[in-house]
Amino acid sequence: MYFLWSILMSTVLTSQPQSPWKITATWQQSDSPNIVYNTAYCGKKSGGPYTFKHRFRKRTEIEYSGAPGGIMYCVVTATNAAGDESSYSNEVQAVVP
Amino acid sequence: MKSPFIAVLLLLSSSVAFSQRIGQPVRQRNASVPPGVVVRPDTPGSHAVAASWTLSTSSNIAKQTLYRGGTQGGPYSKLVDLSATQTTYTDSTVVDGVTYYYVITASDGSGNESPYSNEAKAVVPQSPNPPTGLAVNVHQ
Repeated sequence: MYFLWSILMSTVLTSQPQSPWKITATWQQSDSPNIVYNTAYCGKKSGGPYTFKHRFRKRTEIEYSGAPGGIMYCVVTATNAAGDESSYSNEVQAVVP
Repeated sequence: MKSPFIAVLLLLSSSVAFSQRIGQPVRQRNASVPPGVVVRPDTPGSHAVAASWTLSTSSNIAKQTLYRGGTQGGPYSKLVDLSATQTTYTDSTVVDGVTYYYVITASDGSGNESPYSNEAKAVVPQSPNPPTGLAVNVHQ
């Protein structure tokens, strides 16, 4: 999964080759019941649009390698078993040298 | 999992077309109202209700008015005036976890308004709370 995440991030966010940098994102899970998925959204502009989206099973940390250089902005959401998705979390800025 | 961008939840009872008498001089109206389809727009965590109906068969209809209430059977508050030919409306002012009831009327050029159409119910899902405290660490 992380491999796919890395490839997609590199492809969607930039056309640059993968760098040695890794990004680890952590968050506190939604306090709502029956959360089954989290989805990460990232883009190159603060506030969106977030041009990349990746869904993964419920967790509170994800790491991907090969982060492209530059600045990107990311948020996460939580989706429950009924398929209802939360609003965005706080947005974070990742600056990759 | 349902895609948040295309998922549509049919949460209402079926809309049944029926005829009803409306105020003079509007003749008869065949209104099937708001199927009350709940849709998810592109922004996660927000919802909208897409309502649709069948136009009145009466002549000289000048406008339609969509009403919304929070209790079955009313009372309803006016939501919006619509053109005589419009058959859909998206209500993006709904709140998560709330149930709404919609009816529509048709009015003729003299200002005579029909009785309410059938009522349609829309249950807006309660979205989960978002994750918090998102942080990132860039490292080698």
